[in-house]
Amino acid sequence: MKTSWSIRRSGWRFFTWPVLGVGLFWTLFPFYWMLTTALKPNDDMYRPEPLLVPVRVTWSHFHKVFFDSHFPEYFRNSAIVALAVTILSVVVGIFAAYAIVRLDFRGKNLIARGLIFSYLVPPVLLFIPLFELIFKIGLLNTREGLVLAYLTFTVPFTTWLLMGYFRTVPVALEEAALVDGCTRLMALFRIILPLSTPAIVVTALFSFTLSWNEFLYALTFTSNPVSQTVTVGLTSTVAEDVFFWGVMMAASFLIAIPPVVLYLLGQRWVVRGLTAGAVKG
Amino acid sequence: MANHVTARPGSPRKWQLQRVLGRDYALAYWMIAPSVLVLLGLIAFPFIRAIMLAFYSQPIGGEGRFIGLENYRTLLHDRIWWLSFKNTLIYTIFGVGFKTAVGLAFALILHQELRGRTILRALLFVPWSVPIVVDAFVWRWIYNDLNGVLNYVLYKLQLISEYVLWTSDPKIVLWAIIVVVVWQGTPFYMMNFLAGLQSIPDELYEAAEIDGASTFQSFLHVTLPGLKSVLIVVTLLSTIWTSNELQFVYILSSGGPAHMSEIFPTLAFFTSIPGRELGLGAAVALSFFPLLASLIVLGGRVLLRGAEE
Repeated sequence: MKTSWSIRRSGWRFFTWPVLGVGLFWTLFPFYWMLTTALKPNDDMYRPEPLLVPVRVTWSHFHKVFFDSHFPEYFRNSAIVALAVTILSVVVGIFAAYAIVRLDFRGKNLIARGLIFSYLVPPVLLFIPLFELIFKIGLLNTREGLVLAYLTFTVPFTTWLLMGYFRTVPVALEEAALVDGCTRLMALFRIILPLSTPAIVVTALFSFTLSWNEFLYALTFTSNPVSQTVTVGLTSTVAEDVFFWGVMMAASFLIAIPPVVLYLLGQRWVVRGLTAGAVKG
Repeated sequence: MANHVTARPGSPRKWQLQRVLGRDYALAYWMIAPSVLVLLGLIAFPFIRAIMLAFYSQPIGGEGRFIGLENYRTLLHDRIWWLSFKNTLIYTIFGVGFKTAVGLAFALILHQELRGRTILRALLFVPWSVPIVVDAFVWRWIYNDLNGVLNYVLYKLQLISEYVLWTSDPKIVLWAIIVVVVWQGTPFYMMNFLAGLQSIPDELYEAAEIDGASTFQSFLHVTLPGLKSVLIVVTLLSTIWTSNELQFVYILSSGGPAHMSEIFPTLAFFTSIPGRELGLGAAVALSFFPLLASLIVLGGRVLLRGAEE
C-alpha cells in the first residue's frame, strides 16, 4: 500500500489523529443527535437544558411513525417509484449503451454527447416545463408522473455508466460468438451481460438511491399521501404537530437507512460513478 | 473490423442505407429508441419549452400570453431577484470553496497508512449518502433557537452570551446554510481527491526528495499538479450541482427572513408553483443560464475527454 510519505516525513503525523477526531465528530455528531432525539421522550427534549445523552428511552416516536402517520404510505410510494425507475432505466441503459459502444450507425456521437450534456442539466431548469407536461397528460399526483420525471436523470446516468463498463469487455469474445452464428442480441445477452453483472448491480443501486433521495420533482408534482414520497412526506409532517422533532428524527433515521446501506455496499464504485469515469482511480 | 460477420446478402437498397446510416443501423435504432425518446421528449423538449415559457405570461392552468422580454424586465427591477443573485453567488462560491479546501485536507490526512482506514472512510462518507432532506432537517433541529443543541452547548461553554437565531437572523442565515452545504458535500470531494492522490506515482515524490524539495515544495510541485484534473472535474460538476440545489435553503429557512437567504432555485420554485406564474418562474430559473451553460459545455467536454482516453 502506498503511503503519504510527505505527511509521514514531516512530523505532521502527530496531528493526524486529533484532526481526524475533530473531523469524525463534525461528521457524525448530527447523526448522533438525530438518533438520540428519535429515542428521547418529549420532556427530555423541550426544556431549557436539553439532555445530551438520553437517560430514558422511548419508542413512542417510532411507534407514531409506523402506526399514526402517513409514513407507511410515503415509504411504499418511494419504494414503488424507485424500483420502477431502476428497472426501466437499467433496461433502457443497457440497450442504448450497447448500441453506442459496439454498433455502427449514424448519429452515434451525437447521442453520446446528448446523454452527457443532459446528465449535467440540473432539475431546476426542467421542473417547470415538466410540471406543465405532467399536468397536461393528467399525471399530477401519481407515481407514474414521478417515474417519468425521474427517468430524466437516471437514463443518461445509467447509459453513461454502462457505456464505460461495456467498453472494457474485450471485443474478441463477441466477435468469436458472431462468427459462430450468434446474433448481436444473443451476444449481448450471453456474453456482455454476464460479464457486466457487477456493473449492472451498481448502476441499479445508483438509480435506486438517486430516485429515493429526489426532492424537487416530488415536491412539485405531488401534493397528497397517495403519491408523495418519503422526502416530501418529511416536509409535510412539520405542519402537523408543535412538538414534532421526535417523530421527524425517527422518520429521518428510517428514510436514511436504504441509501446509506446501498452506498456502503457500493462505496468503491460510488466516486467513479458520479463523475462518470472522468476521475482515474 | 469484422464486417463480413454481420453483412448479409440483402437488397441493394439495404446496402445503400447501410452505407449512409452505418452498418448496424437497423438494430441500433431500435436499441437506442427508448433512450432517444427520453432524451428528446423529457429533456430536450421541456428544456426548449422552458426557454419559450420565459417569454410568456403563463399562469398555471390558464391561457399563455406572449409578452416578449417583459418577465426579464420585471426581474431586473425586482429587489428580490438582485438579492437572490447576490445570495446565489455567495452560496455557490463559498460552498464550493470550503468543500474543496476541507475535502482536500481530509484526503491528505486519510492518504496514509492508518488503522481502520476503510471504516474511517465509510464513516466520513455518511453525510453525503443520506438524502439531503434528512441532512437539512437534522441541522434545522440542531439550529433550533430554543431547544437546539448548538445554542445550548455554545451558551454553556460561554462562547455566546445569548441564544443566536441561526436561521432567522438576516446576517447569519446564509452562512448557517453554507455550513450545512459544506458539511454534506465535503465527503464527495474527499473521496475524489483521495482517488486522485492514490494515482500519483510514489516515484515522483522520491525524485522530489532526492532533489531536496521540502514537504511544502513537493505538495506544490507534485501533489497539486497530480490532482489538477480531479480538481477541475470535481469543482466544475459541484459548481453546477451546488448552485442548483434548493433543498438546504428550502428546508432550513424557506429563503427567509425577508428573502435574506433566497437563491435562484428557491425563488424559481416559489414563483412558479406556489406563486402559479410559470413564465416568470422559468425566467428566474434561467437567470444563471448563460453562466451555467458554459459550465455544462465545459463539464461535458471534460467528461467526454475522460471517457475517450
